[in-house]
Amino acid sequence: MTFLHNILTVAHYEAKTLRRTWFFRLFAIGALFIFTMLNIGLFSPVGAESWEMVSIPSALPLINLYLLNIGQAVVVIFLASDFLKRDKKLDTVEVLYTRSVSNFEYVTGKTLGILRLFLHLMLLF
Amino acid sequence: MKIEIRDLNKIYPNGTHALKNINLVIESGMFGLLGPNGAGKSTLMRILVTLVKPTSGIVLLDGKDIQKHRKEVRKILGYLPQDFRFFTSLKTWEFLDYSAALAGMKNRKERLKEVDRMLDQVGLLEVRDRNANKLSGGMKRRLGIAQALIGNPKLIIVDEPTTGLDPDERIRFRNILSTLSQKQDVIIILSTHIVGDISSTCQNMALLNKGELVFYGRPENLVNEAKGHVFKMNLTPYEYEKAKEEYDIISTIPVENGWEVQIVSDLPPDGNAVEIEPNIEHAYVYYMEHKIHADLNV
Repeated sequence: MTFLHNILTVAHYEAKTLRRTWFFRLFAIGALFIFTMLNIGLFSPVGAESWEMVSIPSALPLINLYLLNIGQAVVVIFLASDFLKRDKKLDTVEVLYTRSVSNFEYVTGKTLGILRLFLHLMLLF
Repeated sequence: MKIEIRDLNKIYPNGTHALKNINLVIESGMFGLLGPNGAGKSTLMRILVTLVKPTSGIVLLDGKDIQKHRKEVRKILGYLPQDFRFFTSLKTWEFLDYSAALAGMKNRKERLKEVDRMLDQVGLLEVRDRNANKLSGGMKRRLGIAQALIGNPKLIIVDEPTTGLDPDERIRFRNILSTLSQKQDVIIILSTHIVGDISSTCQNMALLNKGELVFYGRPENLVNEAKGHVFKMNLTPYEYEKAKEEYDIISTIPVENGWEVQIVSDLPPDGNAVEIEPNIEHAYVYYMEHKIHADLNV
């Protein structure tokens, strides 16, 4: 159970830290704005809506998630590839490395934290 | 609990020989590690906390190789590194909670109670909701101390803990460590270049210079080495200039018609010199400059 506790702890704080970064906030606000505009354009009479978009009920969530996933994939890869490098710049993270957490637990926790945060974003959309 | 360090060497990839054949035994209680900058103190600390692997030699904790039993060692470890400035975007209490959770405290309610107790102990309770990055230098240091002590570690390793703390905070920190060292089976290793921290807290100490162990024993033994070699005298400005070239001057106090100085010397200086009882600061300078001829630029 310690294994799970460590992973969830790292994930919890990774998500919290990431949520507070300007990078994530700008991405989330930008995505919200773009999708609002896109939805108005694609699915409402204000834009030039096509009959397929309006008549198929699943079109709205499908299109939104489809487009969001393209953007998220780029951002998640960028964040995930950078997190250990970011850690090295923060000298205080060293004290967390001396805790009883294996490399596997730490990396899994970090990855889970990033994914959890983006899952919340997806639920919002 | 006992730490045995045997024939420990560390050579960095750039060729720096940071530790040379260190042999030490550290038993329960408070142990001081003293030495000038670049002596190898931090390297030894980083090996003890399993962040760095030695080039050769072995460190045993109760007979177990710490490199092979890293997880067990880390379960009982509290560590404060020398550099402790840049935090992730977490509040003060969150950083401590994160440390406590990874130290094995699983019950959230108990953990939060302990977090507040520790914050109170180091005088940071008022700023518990402030972003850790926005704390002052001394406060960050205190937060570092709190995270090292949270979770009742049995092995506490603190690297230059009192740097950047004001005198009140230093005394408070020393008292916290002294209290902890009274507990049974707790080892506290304190690395510092502030000599006074060692004399007031440590039962045993080691002196490192250029990666070599040059003294190992009780602080009183180091002080005894300097007996008969510390003098006080009054000097005119002209004599003072001359004395600066000849002797190691430890302290200088302006008095009427000149200076009252404390000097460390192998032989009694000429003039009105009076022998005085050495303290650990005198002993440190005497030992380094006169016994092993290290240049401290005193």
